[in-house]
Parts: sequence; C-alpha cells; structure tokens
Amino acid sequence: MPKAIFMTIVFLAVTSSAMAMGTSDCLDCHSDDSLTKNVRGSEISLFVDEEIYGQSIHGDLDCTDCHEDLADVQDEHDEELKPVLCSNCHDDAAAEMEAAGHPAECSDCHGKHAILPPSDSRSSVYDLNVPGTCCTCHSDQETPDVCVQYESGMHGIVLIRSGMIFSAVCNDCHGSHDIRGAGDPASMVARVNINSTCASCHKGVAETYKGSIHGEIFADSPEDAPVCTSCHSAHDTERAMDDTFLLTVVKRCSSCHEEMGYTFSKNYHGQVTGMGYTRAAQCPDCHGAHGILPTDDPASMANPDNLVATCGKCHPGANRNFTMYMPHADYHDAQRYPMLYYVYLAMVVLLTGTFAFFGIHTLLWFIRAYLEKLRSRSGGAH
Amino acid sequence: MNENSHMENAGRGERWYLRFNYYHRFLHALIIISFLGLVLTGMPLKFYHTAWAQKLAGLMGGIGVAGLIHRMCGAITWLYFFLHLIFAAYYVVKVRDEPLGKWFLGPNSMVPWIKDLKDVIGHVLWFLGMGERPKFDRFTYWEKFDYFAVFWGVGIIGFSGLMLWFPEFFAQMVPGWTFNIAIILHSDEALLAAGFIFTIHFFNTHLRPEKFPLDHVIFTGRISEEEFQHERPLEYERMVEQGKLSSLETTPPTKTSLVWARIAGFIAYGVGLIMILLIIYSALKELH
Repeated sequence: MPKAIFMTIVFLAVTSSAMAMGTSDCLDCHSDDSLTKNVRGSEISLFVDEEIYGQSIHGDLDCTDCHEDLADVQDEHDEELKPVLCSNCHDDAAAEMEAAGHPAECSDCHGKHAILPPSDSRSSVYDLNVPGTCCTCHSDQETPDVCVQYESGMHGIVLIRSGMIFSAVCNDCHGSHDIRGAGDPASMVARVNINSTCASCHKGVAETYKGSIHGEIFADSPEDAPVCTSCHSAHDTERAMDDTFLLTVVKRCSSCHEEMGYTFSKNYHGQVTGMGYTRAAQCPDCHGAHGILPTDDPASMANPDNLVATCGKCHPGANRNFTMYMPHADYHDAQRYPMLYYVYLAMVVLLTGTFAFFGIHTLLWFIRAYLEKLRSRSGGAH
Repeated sequence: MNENSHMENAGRGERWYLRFNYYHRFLHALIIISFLGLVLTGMPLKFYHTAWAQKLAGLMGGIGVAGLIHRMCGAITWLYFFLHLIFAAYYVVKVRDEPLGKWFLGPNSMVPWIKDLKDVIGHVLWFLGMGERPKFDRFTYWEKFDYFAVFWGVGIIGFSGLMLWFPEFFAQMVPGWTFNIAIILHSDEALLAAGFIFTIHFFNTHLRPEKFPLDHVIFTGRISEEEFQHERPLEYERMVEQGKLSSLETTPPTKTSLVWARIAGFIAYGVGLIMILLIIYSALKELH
C-alpha cells in the first residue's frame, strides 16, 4: 500500500498545477476510502468523508485552517503531520483542559472531521451519547466499573432505558473540560462541591438539606458533615424507595451513627429489616432524610411531641402511650435501661436454672436407664 | 426386681389400655403443629444475622410470609389453650368423681404436690444408684413440669405475642416501653420453650432407653399393660383396686396408626433437632 500512495503522490505531483492547496485538492486523495497509512504496524484510514465533513460545524473551514503545517505545501506532503491545535480558536476550553489535567485529546471526545455541535443528536457529546463517549476510556478503568454502575443506576436508567435527555450524564457532574479527580478540591465532585453539583438539578432537596442538622454542620465544617454521596451512591444511584436503598440505608447512617445503628439492629424494626423486610421502619422513616433534625429540636420528626404523627405513619391509631416504645433500647445497658436489663437478667437466670437442672437430670437419667437396659439384657440372656 | 418379674408375667403386648382420649391427642397435635411452625418462623428473626436464618426465611417466601405463618400458629396456640381450659372446666364439673380438694391434690390432677417433690428426690437418688426407682402415678413430676411449662409459656409468650401483634390496641392501656419488655419475654421464653421441648421433653418422653425411639402413646392414646405396670404402677394398682382397669382396656394400636405416629414423631424430631443445633451454634458464636 505505501507503494500505491507513493504512486498516487507522484501522479498528483505531475498533474496538478503549482498552487496553494485547497480543500478540493486534499480530497483528490483523501476521498479514497481505501487510503491508509501504517502506524506502528496498524493500518490507519486516511479517508475523509466529504459529505459528513461538509455537514460538520467546521464544514466551512479549509483543511489547512486546522492542518496549518500544510498551508504552504504544494501537491504533496510529509506522512507525519503536526498535531492540530484546536486551542487556536477554542482557547477557553483548552485552558480548562490544561488546568484540570484530564489526559485526553480534544478528538478523543469530539472526533476529528465529523465534529458536530453538542445539540446535534449525532454528536459524540450529545447528552444521550456522552456516557458511551466517556466509556470508550473509562470502562474497565476502575473497580467497580463506573460505566456498568452508571447503567444500572437511576441516572443511567432514566437516560438509557427511558431515553430522557434531562437525566444527569457524566459531564453534568464531572464537567466538560474542567474534569478533575474527586481528590482535587476544585473538582465538581470534590466533597466540598458535590452538594452544589447535585443541587444544579436537585434544587428542592438541596434547600431542605441546608436547613437540616447535616446542612448546618456542612456550612461550618464540610469535612464533618454527610454530603449527598455519603448516603447516595455516586454512579449506581438508587431510588430512595427501592429495596436496595432501604436495606442499606441503616449501614450508611451507621457509618457515623454507629451506636444508633447497633441499637436499631437489636430491636424489632432492625431485626425485620435485617431479614430483608423493607416495610418496617428504617432510619429515615422516623428521623427524616434531607431535612433531618436533632431529636431535641421541636421540629424534628423524632421529637417526643411529634412522635404520635411519626409513629402514626405506619401505626395508624398510635397514641402518646404508643410512642413510649424505645426503638433503640439496649437491654444489655443496665445504666440507661435498668428495667429491661433486670427483665433480661431474670430470663437468663430462668433459662440457665431450668437447663442446668434438667440438663443434669437428663444426663443422670440416661446413664441409669442405659445401665438398667444393659443389665436386663444380660439378665435375659441367662 | 418385683417390677421385672411382674413385667414378665404380664407378657408382651397382651392387653392395651387407653391413656389419652381423642381430645387429648387432638390438642397435642395442635401443639406440635403450631409449636414447630412458631419455632421455624420465629427463630430466624431472633437469629436474623445468621446465614441459616436468612435461608430459612427465604424458603418460606421471606420474613413477611414467615410473620404471617407465625401469627397463624400463634392463633392456633391460643385456640388449644382455650380448648384445654374448656376441657379442664368440663372435667372438673362433669367428669370428676372425687371431692374437689382431694382431686386437686390427687393423682388425676396436674397440680404438683408433696409426692412429686419426693419423686424428684427419689428419682435422682435412683439415677445415682442410691435407692429404688420411685413408683409413679398417672402424671409424673416431669410431665407436670412439661404441662405447666406449656401453660406458663403460652401465657407469657402468647400474651406478649398478642401485644406485639396489636401494639396500637394495647397502647390504649399500657405505655410503649412494655413492648420492649414484651420482646425480651417473648424472645427469651421462646428460646427456653424450644430448647426445653427439643432436648429435655424429647428425651424424657421419647428418647430415653426405655422408650427409644418413640413413645407413641400421645398419637395412639394406648399404653400396653407391661408399660402401664412398669411406668405407672400406682395408677395401675389403684385401677385394679377400684375395679376400673377393665373400663380402660382397649384394642391394640393398629399398624397404620403406629406408622403415622412414627412419621409425625420423626418429623418433629427432625425439625427440633435441626433447630436446636442451629440455635446452640448461633448462641455460642454470639457469646464468642
């Protein structure tokens, strides 16, 4: 094939006039869809589809507007071209890319000759196509695979399965050119920024959160407060009413509220939740979710004055008496729950006493009865 | 010695006597069914963090279904409890043929009295080879213990169970922290009941060498003359004395009824044994 190219170049050199190259000149060769070159052992197509290029956002530009090094070339050019500098025009985007350090070329996401505006549904950066574009690199890059996670998460389901364009795609949370790792404080997904990133869509939730105890702590010291992603997964985002969320929410809350998580699991709601029964109460059912307030706050769902309504959501007819149930009681804790502790202790004594007495009784009986049986058997043999 | 010669004279399985009537056997069948159901559906919740509990609940269709079965078995429990009370009242009013006080502390009553205390001591001494085996009557002390264990158990577990089943209703009368107590009572008393029935009751009644592998009397209602004389000599002698023995005599248990007794008995053993092993394993692991 290189021989064929050489012959073509020679042919062109002989036949073309000595003028600066125009797009039509380039296409004399590059409209051949079998035109390739060999780069480190693999065939690279050098074909440019004139029709698609014409429809692209750069369709009015000449080849040499981007391939500047060819501006003065007559007829033939080196096999190796200089990289195209998009930054000549797109200086803002290039500066962002440079600062953020996302190791990708413009063409990795936008393509080369077929670049279309992001609003065009054929564009590689059209919302519906963004995950596919990012995942050409990011699939299999991390464990777990963020691309697989996104697909099974709520955002992915809404975008891919329901085809809804307003769902969050990669760049809505990670930025388009200003893509930084989560560890970078300037990143859109950094701990300090994630709340406002989510809030660009989830406006109402963000407002509620700001009024909550978690929001209050966040305002003072963001490192000490849970942010959106502390409770909601980043890529495989569940719906809060889904079993997968409800069955793991206790674990999420417990990552900070460890003792409450433990005492919850020791009581009825926690036990049936532990058995996979989501109709029982989990943390948010009594404490709220985004607008969570400390129990001593009069507006808190778990404030004693509001418990009749809170318990009543699941237990219609619950009265003041009913709310005196202690969903976080720990009968091992003699200091805080002496009554429960002594009831438990009495049961332990009852169980131990009964089993000790009858255990010994049974053991002795077995030995005696067995000896008797042996004796009567040998007696019978005589 | 005396007993042994007596046994040989009586011969094997010659005569059979009725020990439990249909009503007794029916109530005990209700107990078996509901108790196994309650243990199978309740223990997974107590040991919810174990793999076997998750699997067992999964087999039943989830803890929601298990909860439903549990409540149905609870209803059966209350049913047999009241059926028994009705029977007891009927017995006291219509069947009893001796003065109330004499009956109450006598051999036809389940109430433990001085003889039972003497029997406990005598029995243990016999275990240790320090005396003759006590002569038992219609109800032995361990049977009376079983009876009151169930009576008390149904009271405690049953009532706390009702509280937890209908908390909104009970909260009209009692404060909510009583539900915390109810859970402890319900759960630990259940552990006691399951542990006791699946080890002590099974052994005392069925698995001890004299009875092994199964005493079918609770299923067939029948006891052989030999066993009657050996196990309950005082009752036997009294029946002879009062001339009532022949009125107790009945046909031998049929082959079919013995097969069914074994099937029912071995299913109960199987469930009980598996559950008690799982419970002990998990309890020990938790202690650890």
